[in-house]
Amino acid sequence: MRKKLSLLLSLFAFAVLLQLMDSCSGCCGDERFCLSVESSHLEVLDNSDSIAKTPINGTVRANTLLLRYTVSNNKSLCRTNNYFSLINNAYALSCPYADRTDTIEYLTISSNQDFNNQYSAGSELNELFHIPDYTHLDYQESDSIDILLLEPPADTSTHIFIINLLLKSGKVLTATSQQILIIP
Amino acid sequence: MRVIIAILCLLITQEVFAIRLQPSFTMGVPLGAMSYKQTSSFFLGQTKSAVGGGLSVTMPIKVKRPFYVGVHTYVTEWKLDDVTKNYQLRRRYSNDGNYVTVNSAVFLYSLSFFGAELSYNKSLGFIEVEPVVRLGLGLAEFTGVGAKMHVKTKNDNYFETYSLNAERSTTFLYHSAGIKLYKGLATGFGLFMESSYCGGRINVEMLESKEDFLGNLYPENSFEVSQQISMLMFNIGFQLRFGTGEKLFNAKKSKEL
Repeated sequence: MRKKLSLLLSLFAFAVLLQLMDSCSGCCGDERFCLSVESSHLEVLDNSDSIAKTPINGTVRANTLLLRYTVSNNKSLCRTNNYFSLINNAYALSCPYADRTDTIEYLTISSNQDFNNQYSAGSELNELFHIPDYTHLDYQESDSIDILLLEPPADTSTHIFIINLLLKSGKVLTATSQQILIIP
Repeated sequence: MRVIIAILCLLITQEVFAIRLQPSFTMGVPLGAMSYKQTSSFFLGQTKSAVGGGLSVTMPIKVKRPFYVGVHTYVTEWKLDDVTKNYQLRRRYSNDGNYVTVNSAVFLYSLSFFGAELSYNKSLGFIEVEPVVRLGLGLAEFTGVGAKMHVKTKNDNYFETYSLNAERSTTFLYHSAGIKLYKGLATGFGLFMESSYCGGRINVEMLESKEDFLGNLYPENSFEVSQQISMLMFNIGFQLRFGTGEKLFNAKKSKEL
């Protein structure tokens, strides 16, 4: 009788121990989530102060022009494991947050106006901007980068900037900024 | 090591040595340039207190004489105050033409003390009073010291990112003087309290790296921070006393005769 009781207690303790050792925190169990690029948003900001702000009267100086590009990703349940795996649950060491259904290939910036003699309306302006690494924009549900203008346009003129994000699948996401007057 | 311990135990039980073993909890209170809200120091200042622990082993110079010599080690952990630390970093990097944002700053370091001590024991009947002086080598470890600053030019997109780190560790000489109080609770066992002043000077090399907004890295800059160490140390713990040393000193006496 005492042997059976101690065996039962040992099994109970073992079960509690396994539960405590579960390091997955719900993200690498039976359910897996996927992220897919859903939409993008582009905003022109005035970077003259410590924090970039919406330009007053739709005007910004060229050396403080900042493009804030935000990508929103859709998170959905994309895979369910139908097998019971105690080891997987208990001893998983790495646990990715989510899979990505697509990957970012390339990003282009253009304007609806001529920028200077070399860059006409609609041409790629990437060389005129400092573009930080954007390949991580589809890693979270929402992420953004700040793109800085390095070279002013030839003349004071009103621009609408367009960013096209090309994905590996061939899908292109287009984001258009508000109209902005750029002054030297 | 085991052999040394075994020999030591044998000598103690044979009444050859009289040893006092003193583990303690240590608390440090910074003074002067190290004290809280003191901005003259670059990174040893701005801390309220430190905690740690220590161990000292002492033995009498001669049996039944009140002078003791020994060795000791103490380790203390220091954490700097966030608000004043950020203020100090801003003060270093800001000017009229920029904005400084401290992105991360962890200033956690430890000061360890290894040295020799000399003390004079005086029994007042119910309590023992023991003035002590110490001299030794300190080790400062800065594995947890580092900060990142974002410095943006006003009315411009231009910004720089600075990283500031201390060298991993450095040594310094220190001196200390204080007083111990001991209250015996049983034969060879009692409680003790100690208060002492500890002083010294430490020279730390700081490494600064800069990267501009285009990702261009600039040559690393290094500068030395020299600062006086000035602190009060409070120790509380228990003391174990082994042996009386009678055999050794009796043998000496008989030789002299």
